[in-house]
Amino acid sequence: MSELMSAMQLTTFPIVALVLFLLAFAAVLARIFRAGSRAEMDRHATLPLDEPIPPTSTQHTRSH
Amino acid sequence: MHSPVAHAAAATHPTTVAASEGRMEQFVYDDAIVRKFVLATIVWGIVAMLAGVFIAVQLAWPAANLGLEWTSFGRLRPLHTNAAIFAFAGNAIFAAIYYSTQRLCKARMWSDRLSNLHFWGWQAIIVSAALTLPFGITQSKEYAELEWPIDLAIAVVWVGFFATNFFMTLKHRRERHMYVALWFYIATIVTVAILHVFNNLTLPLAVAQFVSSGTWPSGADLMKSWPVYAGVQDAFMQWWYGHNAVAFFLTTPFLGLMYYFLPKAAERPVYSYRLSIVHFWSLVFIYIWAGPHHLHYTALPQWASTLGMIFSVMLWMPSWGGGINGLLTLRGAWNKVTADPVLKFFVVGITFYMMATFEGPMLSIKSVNALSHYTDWTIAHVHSGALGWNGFMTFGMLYWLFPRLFQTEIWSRKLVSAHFWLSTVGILLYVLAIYAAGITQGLMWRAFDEFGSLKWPEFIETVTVLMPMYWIRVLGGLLYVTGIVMCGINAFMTWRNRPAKYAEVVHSAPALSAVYVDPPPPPSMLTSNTDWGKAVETKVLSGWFHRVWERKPFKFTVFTVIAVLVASLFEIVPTFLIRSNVPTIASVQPYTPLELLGRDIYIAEGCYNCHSQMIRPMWAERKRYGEYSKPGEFVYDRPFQWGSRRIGPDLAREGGRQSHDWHVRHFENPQAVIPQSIMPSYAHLLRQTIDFDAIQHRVNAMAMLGVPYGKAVREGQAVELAMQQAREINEQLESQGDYRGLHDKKIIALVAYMQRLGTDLTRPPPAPDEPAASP
Repeated sequence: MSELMSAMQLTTFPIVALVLFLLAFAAVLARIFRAGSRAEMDRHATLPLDEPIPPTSTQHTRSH
Repeated sequence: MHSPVAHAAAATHPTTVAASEGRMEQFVYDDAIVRKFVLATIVWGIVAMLAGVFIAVQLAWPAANLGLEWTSFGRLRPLHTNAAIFAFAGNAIFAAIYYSTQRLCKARMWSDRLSNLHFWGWQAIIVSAALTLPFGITQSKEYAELEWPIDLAIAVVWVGFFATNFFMTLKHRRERHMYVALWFYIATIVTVAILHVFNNLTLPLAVAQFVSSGTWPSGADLMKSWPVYAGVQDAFMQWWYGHNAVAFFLTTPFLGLMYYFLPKAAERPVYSYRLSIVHFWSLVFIYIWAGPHHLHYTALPQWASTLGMIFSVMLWMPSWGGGINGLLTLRGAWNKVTADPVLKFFVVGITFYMMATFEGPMLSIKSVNALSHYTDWTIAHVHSGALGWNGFMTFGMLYWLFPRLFQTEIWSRKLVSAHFWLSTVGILLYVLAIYAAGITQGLMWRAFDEFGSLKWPEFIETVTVLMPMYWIRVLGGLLYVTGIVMCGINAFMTWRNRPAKYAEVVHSAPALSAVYVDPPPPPSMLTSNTDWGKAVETKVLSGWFHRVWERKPFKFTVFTVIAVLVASLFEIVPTFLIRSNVPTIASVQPYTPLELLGRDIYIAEGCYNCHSQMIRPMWAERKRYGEYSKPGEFVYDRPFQWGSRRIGPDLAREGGRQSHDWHVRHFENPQAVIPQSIMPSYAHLLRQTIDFDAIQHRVNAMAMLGVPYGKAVREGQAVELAMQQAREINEQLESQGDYRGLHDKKIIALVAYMQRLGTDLTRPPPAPDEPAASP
């Protein structure tokens, strides 16, 4: 492995890195901008505000 | 706690409940664990910031270290950084994760026992740090100073307790989609585990000694270890870790916090969920590459340095995209910011995030870094991030949580506002003064006069000029500490007003069904292609695959790990395997046994906190310190000691510059040699004796790591070599001045190390039959 990597041009590594990044970035863009995803995105965005169904009962069990 | 917006959103989008199909279940959130982490955040926040102020005072007034070895800057600076990062910020992110994960998953944490083991285990680790670092028990790798037994404990607590509990909670969640905050938590948990394990691969002295002799070391040596990496590789691993500790301990979990708590406080959803997805993957993929920008112009291979710079600059966009996403969440609600101190903290916190993430990439540009590196500019940058981003996001979260956790109104809103303004002014005083100090230092170090000589050849001149700025920093730090104390008072008083018994609300949500059929991928638009081509188009190019991951914690985690590990493959591994990256130098030999011990004393005293050992190939540095540092000079340096700042001068070529007598006088009382010096006294090293018996095991441990010690590994040989060198140095010392009888004192070992530094380049290579590591 050491021999193989030593024989490679060092500039190869940054180029491979950038290509990998661009591929990953393109995949993410494809995910978010595909047709019909807006409603789904809006729904997901509300999750922190989407509390569970209002409480059915309240316990007072824990003292401190 | 149920906002009108939330109910409206649920009504508009009958989301998860309808999609879940399982039977209705009841559950109660565990807020007791959140209360514990909140308390720990405040307590450790006060401790961390007080430690910071204490060492800041020492830089302006060295006598403030009380003349004690345990309270010197070198020993306490790691305590401050570790307390700020792992105790203050750490407990804050745990509070955030435990609170928000339960709500986002609609499930109680999987195991209360693991939650509590996590809490108490983490506090025990923090206490262990406080009980070891002041005593010089350190690995000397920044933000990874804790020694191997504590590292093992961290791994157990992080992976065994925290990660297990978190992922099992995800598994048993009642909400199909994993909200983006959970993605940030996943990235945090897996990446920190990877970073921690690989940066802390060490050989403990205890293991080496037991293997070679069947005995155990005593005292502090029980905890002593050395990294399996050396020199350039060690530096690379360290800053891969160091930078990503900032990324994945101080950034991603706080972004998760932002994406959950900001919408809660603003009572409106995040501005753009799409942007949050881009934000997440861009950060995960880019951040991990950026570490080498901490090593510009050092002995690191230039290609790696450039790669780190490029990826750092690329970080600008996702960071600002995320920051803008946070601020725009407040669209239409800015009127609330004027009245709600929680939102004020969040807005200023996000603003500091944007400033720090603008500045970080800027500092990574080589030409800027040439000026900023080793100066206080870096310190101002990290405090802008830590105090502004991490601190303010934490305080915003805490003040939002207090009434909810203690189930009563917050005690004093005025005190919250006072905290906000006091801390804001404190940060500004701190960073503006230290920016000025850093730029001043950088410019003075590189300034030449009209004759081509250094304009300020005495390093001390570049120190004394900073004193006014150092005092302003102390003032800023005091204001910030005062703010946290106010937060503590408010928390305590709010807690006192709590109800006699906390109400535990029983929630209901349907369980997720075991079988879930994904909505089909969009139809292919290809009319004439193979099935394979259509599958690629519909499942990959359309992004359908990602939507599936978003409800599959295991797959999501695996792909996050892959994204993180890619950087290792293309950035770190070549540095280890390509021999041309670290050309060896024939004259560079292992440290002698006495020098090895002296090096461990240098490490224990935390000298690397103020002195670098890395001369960059710049004219001003070569003029001031000598020939620039070569990668091959560090092949026996475990751990590397390149440092990251110069409160004092670089020491890479210190060997032979001064007499033994000068060094001993300087260590005993620096101000007696350089009156304006801010270095603490190390007089204790003139009293403490060398444990010569321990030297043999140190040499043997190094030999196990591959250092060619030759005959020195024979029983008693290293001890004999060390005693011989100590006698020689002592004789020379006695001939140079008034010191007598120091031949068995630690100062002799430290002087031996100091006099060795940087001298290998000018030595002749050893003859083939010459025993290695002889003095």
